[in-house]
Amino acid sequence: MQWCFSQVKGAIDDDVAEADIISTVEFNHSGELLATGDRGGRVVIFQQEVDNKSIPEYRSEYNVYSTFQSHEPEFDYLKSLEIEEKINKIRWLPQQNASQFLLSTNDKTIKLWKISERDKRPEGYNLKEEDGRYIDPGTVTSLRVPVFRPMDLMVEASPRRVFSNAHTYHINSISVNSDNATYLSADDLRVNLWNLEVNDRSFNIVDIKPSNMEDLTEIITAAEFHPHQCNTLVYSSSKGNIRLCDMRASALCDQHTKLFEEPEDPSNRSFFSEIISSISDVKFSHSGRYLMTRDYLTVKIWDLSMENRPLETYQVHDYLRSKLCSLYENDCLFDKFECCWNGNDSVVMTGSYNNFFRMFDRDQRRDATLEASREHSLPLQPLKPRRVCTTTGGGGCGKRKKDEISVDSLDFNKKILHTAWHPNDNIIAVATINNLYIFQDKVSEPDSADDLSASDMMCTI
Amino acid sequence: MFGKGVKRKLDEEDDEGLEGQALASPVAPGAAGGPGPRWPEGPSKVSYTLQRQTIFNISLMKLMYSQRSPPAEPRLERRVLINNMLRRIQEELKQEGALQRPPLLLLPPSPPPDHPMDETFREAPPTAPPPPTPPHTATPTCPPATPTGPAPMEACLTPASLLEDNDAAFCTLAPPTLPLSPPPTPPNCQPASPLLLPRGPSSQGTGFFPPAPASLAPGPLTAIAKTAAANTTTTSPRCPPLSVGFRTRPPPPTLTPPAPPSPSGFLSDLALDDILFADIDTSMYDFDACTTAGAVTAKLSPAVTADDLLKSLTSPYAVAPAPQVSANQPFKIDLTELDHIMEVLVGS
Repeated sequence: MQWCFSQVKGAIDDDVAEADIISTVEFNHSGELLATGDRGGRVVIFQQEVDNKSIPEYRSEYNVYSTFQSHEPEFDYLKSLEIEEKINKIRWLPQQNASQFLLSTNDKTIKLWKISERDKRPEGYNLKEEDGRYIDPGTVTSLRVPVFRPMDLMVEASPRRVFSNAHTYHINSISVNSDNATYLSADDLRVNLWNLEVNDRSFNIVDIKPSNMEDLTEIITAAEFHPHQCNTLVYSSSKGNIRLCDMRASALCDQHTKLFEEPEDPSNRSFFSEIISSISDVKFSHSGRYLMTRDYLTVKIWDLSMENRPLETYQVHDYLRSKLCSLYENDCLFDKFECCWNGNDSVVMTGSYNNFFRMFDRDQRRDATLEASREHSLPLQPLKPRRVCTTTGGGGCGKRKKDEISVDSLDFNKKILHTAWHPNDNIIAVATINNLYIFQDKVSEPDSADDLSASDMMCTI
Repeated sequence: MFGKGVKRKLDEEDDEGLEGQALASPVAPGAAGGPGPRWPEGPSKVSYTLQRQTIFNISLMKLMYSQRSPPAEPRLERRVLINNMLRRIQEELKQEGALQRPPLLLLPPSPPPDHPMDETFREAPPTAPPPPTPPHTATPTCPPATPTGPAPMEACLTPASLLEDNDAAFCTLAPPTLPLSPPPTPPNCQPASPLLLPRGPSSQGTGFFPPAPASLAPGPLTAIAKTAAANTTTTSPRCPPLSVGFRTRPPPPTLTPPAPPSPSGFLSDLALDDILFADIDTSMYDFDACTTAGAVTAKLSPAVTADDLLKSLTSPYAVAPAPQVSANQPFKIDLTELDHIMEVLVGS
């Protein structure tokens, strides 16, 4: 599989405004819409170009569909602290009518947004002029029936629900349940269950807050509902374990049903073992059989039936293992990378530094490192795989090849934390600090385009 | 994080080579009974100690600093992880201290329990094993008479400003008592961590040694005592924060009430002091001293754990409070030196 550059969205200049930093990326369930959230509290939705969808080479053209301000900065007067408007997560609801719905959340408040199109408007009222002025009934001599006339497409986003005041700590995850009626929101210590229709009440289903806060050593880092079983959810912790809970067991799921934890490798122990084991993202596979977790250096695939160790472990950037102290010092060790599955769960992807991102093909046991950068991106040209060479013996890279870069030259300010994969196609969205890159896999032969269906497109690397 | 567009080069760090060397050797001795790697011997042990100290300092500074321009609530995960790191290092130090000499550490008890509605995370004092033969039994409880800060502090804490202001006293502590083998190297001192830069030209004083591993006397670092001295003369009823090693500032004539010192100021000294005072013997001493304003009890523990002091840092207001830094700084002072300090403080 070869990946080709398709588009890049965002400002070109190097001076990055804080508000433009992308904080989340998410395709909707059909893949037609791609939503991004940024630190300024804005949501930008891109739509796949309808005309080009049938042309394989151009099927990944996405254009701006809607932009709106989802969250505003707030001030907590009690604590004298600001509540950031940064959008932490966006999750789409499955489409049920002509409108699209998504949940967006910042640290404290979740909002349900309805995105609807308007391409017609009524004209020909009897008592109202086109500009809204009222007509004196006495002057009306004949009646007509108002009709809908086409107008320029207008996309409106309106907040339908605001779910607030349920979280004392920072919300890190939201997840829509497969029952399409409820969703969960998780903060550092608690997981709450909401009904999409009810915004003034939520149920706490997990609470790991110790009675004495001084005893706190572990927090929740991510949570997600099972894609098919509406009673099952998982949450990951800062100590590197994942707990699966069954809501049928009890109302409060403090007792986990399963605990996924890998014993620590004693030869790799260091001061930073705990920090690098902290799980930054957890994602169920589309099939619901597997769980993927991302910690600082690895991606792990777990089988839900096996708790004592992961099925597969992939090294994302193991060359950083000798740099952990420096990374701790400049706070990079706390970066929260996300990960994602492709449509048929055969390939997983995650980000790294220097605007690199990594893909791991589970079936073919191959991995690739690619770079999201404007310089190296020519439309429809396959991306060249990158390689990081590690210093050996302190002498630097021995014979560095053209596309290699040494560990010491990596730019740790250029990090790819958020990636998303189209649910049905090999189109990926990769967010650098303030730009969104869209890549698609190279289409092999033009004449086979007729036979390509969605499932055919999901080929492995 | 580094500035926008700045390409971070890992090999620019001062201690990079050191870290690489330190990290090369197996780290973290196995827990008691656990199958961990063995305690590294020889030079790697020294570098391990140095690395541990570096990490400790970095961790403290991370907790103190908030890098957000409009103060926002600090991230809980980050604080919990850093605190766990500090606790782990503390545990190790305690274990070493227990192994190598009769522990002279007394740990203050838990602070008064928080209000049940208080959901802020404060680092707790570690539950340490009771020291076998404490020469003195200190009741370190210092009920905060009027806590002026976000968190009540323990008795054994010294106003940072006091210690800073009287650093002339501390300057005298340094060289004679140091068993460092290499002679003082030129005053371009390399801080143990690149973040902890020495402040100003006055830092090029005597007794500043680059953190060369060979110069470190291997030995456990036990807690400080010097705070108690300054404590005696505090006029503030509250139990003031601890700070250490202030050689960069000239002593003012009067003791001022605790004011938030610049965090970078005393942390820079902190790093160096750890190295410098690595092998200074501590001694348990009896302080009738902290009787100022009746806020503290007669006998104090000279030992303060980072966690107690970190409690003050982790209030919700930690973004801009008095950085009441602790040093769970394991260095020891001669009693004579302490007397000298007390004289200076009281006499001024």
